[in-house]
Amino acid sequence: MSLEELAYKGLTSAHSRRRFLKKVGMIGGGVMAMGIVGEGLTFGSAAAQTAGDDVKTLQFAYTLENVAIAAYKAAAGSGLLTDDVKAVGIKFAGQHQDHANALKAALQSVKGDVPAVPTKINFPAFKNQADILNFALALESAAVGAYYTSSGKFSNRDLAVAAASIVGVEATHVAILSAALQKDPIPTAFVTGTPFDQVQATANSLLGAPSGGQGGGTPATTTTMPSGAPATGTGGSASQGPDLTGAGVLGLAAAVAGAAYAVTRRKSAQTAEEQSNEE
Amino acid sequence: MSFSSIYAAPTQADMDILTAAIKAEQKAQAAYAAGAASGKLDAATVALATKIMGQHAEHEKAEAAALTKMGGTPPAKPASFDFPAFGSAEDILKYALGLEQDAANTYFGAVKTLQDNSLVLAVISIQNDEAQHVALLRSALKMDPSPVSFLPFK
Repeated sequence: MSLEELAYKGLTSAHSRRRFLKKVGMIGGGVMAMGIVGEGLTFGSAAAQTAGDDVKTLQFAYTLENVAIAAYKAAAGSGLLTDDVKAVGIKFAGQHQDHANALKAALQSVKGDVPAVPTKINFPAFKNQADILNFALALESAAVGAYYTSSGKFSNRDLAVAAASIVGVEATHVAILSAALQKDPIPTAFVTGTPFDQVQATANSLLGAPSGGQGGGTPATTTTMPSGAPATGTGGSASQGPDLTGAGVLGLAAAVAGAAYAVTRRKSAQTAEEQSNEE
Repeated sequence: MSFSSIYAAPTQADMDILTAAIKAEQKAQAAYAAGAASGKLDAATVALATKIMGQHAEHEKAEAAALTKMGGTPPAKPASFDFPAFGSAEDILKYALGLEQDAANTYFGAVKTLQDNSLVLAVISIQNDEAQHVALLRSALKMDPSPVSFLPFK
């Protein structure tokens, strides 16, 4: 059973689907919940026959975000990171938490089940900082792939907008981690992330793939690229320009200095915001 | 990237979005070209600008192909652009950052209104690239490279 199937477990019954559809008409709470991803989000008329799949996709995304949060927390506690890199990881974990919170609120607003936060994740053994950064890069690329793919599958355009607002941020994580690893941070002009079948394989290896069919009537879920998707699985970009790997401005120092600055600034900005809120 | 879908019923609104996007991509390319030729950027930053310029050219090419396929005519590249006077590398990077943030936000906004689903996906893939440009430029400017948890950039 794939992670996606696990995440979808129990939500494909006629009952839950009907319940979801019933809620589609009163999604005001969802608008508020997803409001943080952009002003004026409204849930239009979702295509009724696939609305249940929207819930599943939200659940899968929620689980992925929680895996990322756990990964960055584990990395921060590993003792293998420099302070600067640790600060970047903590910052990214915070952004993934924001995403998870938004997805959770959206799920609750449509009375969809919120999957349990995974507690047992099979992280690979990390020997050093580069191992961790490479793992984080793979995870972020997978997240980009997951959101990119799902943005073409949502029956509700507003959910596609929400996915787009999140995936753009995951893409910045990919670039920053690539720069920190002295890899080309912008290898392609069209950023689609990891192909979805690989995303599922990654998720399965991290969360385990139980052999028993515990879904009790859960239909076999196959996830394919949306039919309208551009053929970009292999990058899609014929000419890629010079490889910037190792370019001075993109090196670890610059990326980390910027991110460390970011964390400091974020704190002071938050303080300022809190103060203004109190007024 | 190829825009592989069949445009059974291309809408004028979608074509207008593509036309505006092409113009923005042309302006971005010209801005990076001017920056690279200014003599104010160090070699590594020139390399970055040149690479980003190339990606904007790829976006323009893909968008022009899509627009043509839909029956539209891609806008010609203007002979010149009115860029501000750049006094320093920082001026150039900040100007570029403004263009990139606007571009990322504009593509993000288009996700809401585009009719053609393959255009939605293509636009998101370009939005993501612009967001990466934002991160790199902000990093080069010693600014927070990932300043928001959700697009649009503020």
